Amino acid sequence: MNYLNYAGEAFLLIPLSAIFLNNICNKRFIEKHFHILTGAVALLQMIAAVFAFYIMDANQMLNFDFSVFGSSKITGIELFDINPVSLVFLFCIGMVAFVSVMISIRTIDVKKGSYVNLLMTLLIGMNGMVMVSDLFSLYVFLDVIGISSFVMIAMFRSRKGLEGSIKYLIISEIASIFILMGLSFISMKTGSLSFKDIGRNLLTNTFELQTILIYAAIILMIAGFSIKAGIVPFHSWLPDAHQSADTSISVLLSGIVIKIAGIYGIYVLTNIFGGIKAYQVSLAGLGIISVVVGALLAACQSHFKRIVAYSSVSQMGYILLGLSTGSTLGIVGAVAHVFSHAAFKSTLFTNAAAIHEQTGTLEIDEMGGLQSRMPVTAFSSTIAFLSTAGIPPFAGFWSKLLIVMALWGSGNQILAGFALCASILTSAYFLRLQKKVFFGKTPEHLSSVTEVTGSIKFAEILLTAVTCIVGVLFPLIIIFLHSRGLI
Amino acid sequence: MLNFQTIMLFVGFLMIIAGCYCMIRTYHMLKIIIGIEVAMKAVTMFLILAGYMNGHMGLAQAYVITAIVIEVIVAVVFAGVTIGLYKKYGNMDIRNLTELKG
Amino acid sequence: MNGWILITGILIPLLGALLLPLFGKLSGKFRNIMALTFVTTAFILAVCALTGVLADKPFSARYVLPLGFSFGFLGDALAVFLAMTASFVSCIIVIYSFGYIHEYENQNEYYMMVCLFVGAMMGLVYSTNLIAIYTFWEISSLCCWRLIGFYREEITIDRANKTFIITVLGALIMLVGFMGIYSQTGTFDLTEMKGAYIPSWCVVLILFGILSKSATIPLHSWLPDAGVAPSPVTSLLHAAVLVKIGVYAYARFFVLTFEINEAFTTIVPVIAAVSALYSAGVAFRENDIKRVLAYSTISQLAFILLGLSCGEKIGIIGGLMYIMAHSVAKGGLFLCAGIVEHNIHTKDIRKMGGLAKTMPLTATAFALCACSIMGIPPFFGFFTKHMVIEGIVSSGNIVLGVLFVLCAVMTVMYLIRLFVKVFFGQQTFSEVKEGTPIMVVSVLILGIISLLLGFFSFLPSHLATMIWGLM
Repeated sequence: MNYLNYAGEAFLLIPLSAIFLNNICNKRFIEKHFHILTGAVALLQMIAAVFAFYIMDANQMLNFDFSVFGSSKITGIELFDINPVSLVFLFCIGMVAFVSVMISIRTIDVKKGSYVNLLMTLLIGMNGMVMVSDLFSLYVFLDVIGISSFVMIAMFRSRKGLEGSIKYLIISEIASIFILMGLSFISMKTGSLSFKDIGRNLLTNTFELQTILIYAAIILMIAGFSIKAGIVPFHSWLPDAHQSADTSISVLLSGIVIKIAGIYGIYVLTNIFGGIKAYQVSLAGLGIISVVVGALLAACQSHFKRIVAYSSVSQMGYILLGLSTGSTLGIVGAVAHVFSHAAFKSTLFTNAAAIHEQTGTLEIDEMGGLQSRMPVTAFSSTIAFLSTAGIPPFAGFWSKLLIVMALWGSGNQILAGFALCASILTSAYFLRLQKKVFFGKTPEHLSSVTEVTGSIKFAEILLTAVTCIVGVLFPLIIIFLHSRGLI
Repeated sequence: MLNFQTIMLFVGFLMIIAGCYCMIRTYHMLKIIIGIEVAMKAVTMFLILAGYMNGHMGLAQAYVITAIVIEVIVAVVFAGVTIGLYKKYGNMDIRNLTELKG
Repeated sequence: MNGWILITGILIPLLGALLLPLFGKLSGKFRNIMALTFVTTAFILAVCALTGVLADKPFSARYVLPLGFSFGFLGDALAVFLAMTASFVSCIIVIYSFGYIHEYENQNEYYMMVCLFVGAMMGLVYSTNLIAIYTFWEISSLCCWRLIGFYREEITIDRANKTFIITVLGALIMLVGFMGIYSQTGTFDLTEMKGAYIPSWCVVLILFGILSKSATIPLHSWLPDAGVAPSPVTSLLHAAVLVKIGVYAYARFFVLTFEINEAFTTIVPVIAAVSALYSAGVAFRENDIKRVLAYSTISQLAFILLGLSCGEKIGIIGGLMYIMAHSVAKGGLFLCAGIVEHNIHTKDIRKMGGLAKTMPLTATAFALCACSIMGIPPFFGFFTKHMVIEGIVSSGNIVLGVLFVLCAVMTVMYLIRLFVKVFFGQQTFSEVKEGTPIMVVSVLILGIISLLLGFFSFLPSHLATMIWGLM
């Protein structure tokens, strides 16, 4: 169990020491080699997650409590806790951070030191959030994520960046108010905010007012985490923030931040309130609206990153649908979709970075015919789009199928059928994107475009391989989950 | 019914409504952060109230101090972004922000 | 347990397709030969699987997974029949492509997609799991999207997108139907639910997918529009692979596996009749050679659907044999149209005429294939069409029988119109040459086979009778 303790601590201490290293070392040296430092941190995180997963599986553990710096236990504030689900999230964080570093090598020319500091702070926030075991610490790490994202968006001080940042900041702070209010209401009833205690004390019926407040708390926290996840109707900040940031940062925001800050929060709530019918219905309602409206809005955008950002809104809806079932199958489907979404959304943002580097624009009306000039980018974006649209045999299909099966099993047949057919909207807006960007006539100013090289190409190939391989080998994952009695 | 807890809850809700109203009504960035701060103060009060109601005042203190620290950092970041915008536009009117649409 | 033959037959074209672009970087000729090799391998392995069927020990492989998933492959009579037909016609089309496609860009993608298409078809016919069938179904939609969009023009891309949207939407609705079956039976494995009664709403949802893929009214409009693709591609879509997937799925699900409501033996023939008559009528009005042939395909597919859905033995056997007859003959017709289009650079039949003098071999092949489609004895098409109509009449539906006879007459008329307009009359293009030898030989092969199959029609009929025995 010592190894698990080391692994758990590593998730927090490695980024922390990277910050120290970054600020102690010679500035010029760091600017030159920043990608080695950050890339190593991301890789170590992935390795640690796989390693911890292997140990937990070998010992048949479902969760493991540990402490950082040997901090003592206080009533109400539990220690950190890792479990298989949080390890999947941790792996996704490492993967997307790695992709972000790969992109940043090409796109970030100034303020490399700040980028490292902020990325590491963001990593601490996200890793902390998926490992904590009480609601208040969850909130603290949530704001660490929030603050580092605000600064990252505004980092280059362009008009767009500042505008996206301030929109995100205001709406996100409202979300924080909601969440904090919700958890104070819960604490009025239960006296403790640790996940285990809340579930235990929630059912005891003591005081009329506090029971009402619990329901208020559920509404407030769903709203708060939905804002963070960019669920319709709380999505207005998301495309603005994701469009205006540098691509290496939008890949983080769209690929993982909304999922950790929003979806993981809702996952925690599901563990606590999952049995309440009203909770399930509201999640399902938000989910299906998000799926449809997100896709429709994506279909009428003209900026590459905006389309992809709205696509995130739509996909978050599927994850909510999976969580709304409250069944193990639904949660497995949702977590699988988190992973496949991290893979294909990172691919699409990497493509955006490639196109921006080579053509200097991301307005899809100004592009065309890039398929013959940038074959690798075109191919990887096609695979990512197919995975997003849930076309087999790619990873997105399986996670979507599991979600739909769970929905069907929980008695929402019509909703399941509707969610499945809504994938066609995904196909529709991606076909439009493909047509405008990669096919059609090439405008004259793009006639000398060539394929992107170096780290971005490497990231594209790597992510495409991940999407394909996970998709083709997904039956093995099903066998594994079945053998562990999960589905 | 009209005991201490309900009165405090009521006052808190009023403060939140006041904060939200402030955010909606004004177009000045600094006034928006003031609105957010007012609402945050109400939430902080709820945390203390929760401590009072469940008898863990020590824990509530820890929560409140952490929440205040976070609040301050948010205010600082907000101010930083606002200064950036002020340098670009020359005033602090949020109606200037029209670059991102769609 | 010779299942590995089936799995190899699927994997060689599928995985080989992914290697073709790499081969293409080395040398174009090598890539072409490898593409032909992969497709031919699929055909040869299908013939190997035939031995299993004839020995009454069909090859099979099955690995059960949790949650009702499974990897199941079964080479029964229906699967082998379809696999042989599809891979054989695909072989001819690949050979033809060597002559047709060599001057265009994106050849790597073209051969990759053709090969992938054949692999998807093989996978689809051999699989016994609904999810696997859905997977290969969507792979075929994907290939068809890229193949129709082969020329990178605005209109071809739009048409390709239209095809993709319609077929994928149909498939998604069908998947909802599969979920309905799953909730009834708790498994996706077809072998486990033989004889299961499924509710009518599931049947309707699955029919959506089938009709969208086999281009039956009201989901037909993508097929004529797909004529903007290169001719070997349209031939592949119409004859060898794509539209046959729909009728195969009908045969596999509703003829061989599930029990469905009696009412569908009336509803589906009526849909087929509407489809047949409407598209035969439209075929008169069209002046684009490929659109005429496309509407003809829609009309002939209605015959197949009619045969399969009438519920009589003779009709079902006729429908199955019609799949083969139509594959060979319609493949030949489209390839002939491709030669004509390739040489005179227009698709408008009003501008053509007198081509029989300059292209005698192509005209002969066209005539042979057209006769088979028209149902002139002793061509193969005659026997099958006869059996289908006999099937619907013996099921007691005289009106539909009469309508389909009318439709057969219309088929004769519009194909003769097409033939006369293109090959007879005033010679408008004087300096036209015959197509390249490789193209002409491949169409002649198909034409002669449609004639020969008429004389040897007992061979496929034996196989079709065995399919009936599977019920």
